[in-house]
Amino acid sequence: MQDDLYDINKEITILDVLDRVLTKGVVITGDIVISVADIDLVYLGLRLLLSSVETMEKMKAVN
Amino acid sequence: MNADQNKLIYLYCFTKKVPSILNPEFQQDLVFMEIEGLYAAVKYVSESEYSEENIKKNISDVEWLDANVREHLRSITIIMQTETVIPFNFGTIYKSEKSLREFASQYAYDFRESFLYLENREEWSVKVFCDRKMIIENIGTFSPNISDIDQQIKSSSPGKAYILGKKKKEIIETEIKVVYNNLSKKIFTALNELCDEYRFNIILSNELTEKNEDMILNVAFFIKKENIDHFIQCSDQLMHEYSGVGMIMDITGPWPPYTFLKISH
Repeated sequence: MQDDLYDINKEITILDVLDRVLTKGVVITGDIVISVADIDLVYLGLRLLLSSVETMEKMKAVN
Repeated sequence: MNADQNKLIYLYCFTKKVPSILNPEFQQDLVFMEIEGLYAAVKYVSESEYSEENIKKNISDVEWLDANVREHLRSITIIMQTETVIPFNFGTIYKSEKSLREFASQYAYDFRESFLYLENREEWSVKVFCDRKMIIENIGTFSPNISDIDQQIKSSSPGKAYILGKKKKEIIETEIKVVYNNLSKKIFTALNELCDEYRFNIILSNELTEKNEDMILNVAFFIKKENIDHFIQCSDQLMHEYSGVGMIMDITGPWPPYTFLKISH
């Protein structure tokens, strides 16, 4: 029962995952890293994706 | 693809031991590299996917990003089933084994110290949402101000009742904020008693959560394993207690302890 309710791989949004695996954690890093600027781009990308889906839906409604 | 083609080293996490029982779903390309008595969980990846230039391109592809960050999280959570981990961010890449070994040797002492704190504790996330419409329907039970004004409206002339009605709308907006604040404090205080540490995260907008309900609390807790059952029981009780007024709780965990790591340069 507990696994069904609290399984981390279920119903976790990409934002929840990104919030931890990109923006938190060990500050020390590897030879290649994703910079804060890139993270901003990721979030921007997600917002654009959301807004483009919304725009498409609105256009469908108009047509 | 094999290790000859895949020359970059992708770091998931450090552990103190190689997991003894591997889950059948466990990734076949995962390698545990022994460094100074600790183990780096890594995989070899190609430059075509993970070179500095290509990783920047790839993270703009939301489908690629979604699949790969989930794989990153899944691999670490599988290791966590038997071992304490020091998780690394998605896309932590070393250009050679030598480079990874130098880095790990430099921080071996910090890693050992971190394991002492991370062992026997779990990171859990609590997000609390409120259904605004339901809160408005039940606002009288939360707010004495609204109950009072309802009484006044009942006993007033039609003209005065109209003005009080308009005033009531303004009061409701203010009271919703008070209700959200009180509810989030109650939930936080009750759960925090069972936890060693907490960290508040930003309240996300409805657009980002893709939920109709308003987020009123977003917090990560660090909890001793012996208290986890009690924490879940307490969460269930709170959910039950406040579900009638439109409160929803999203409890997820255990997460890799990203929020409570204290290692830095």
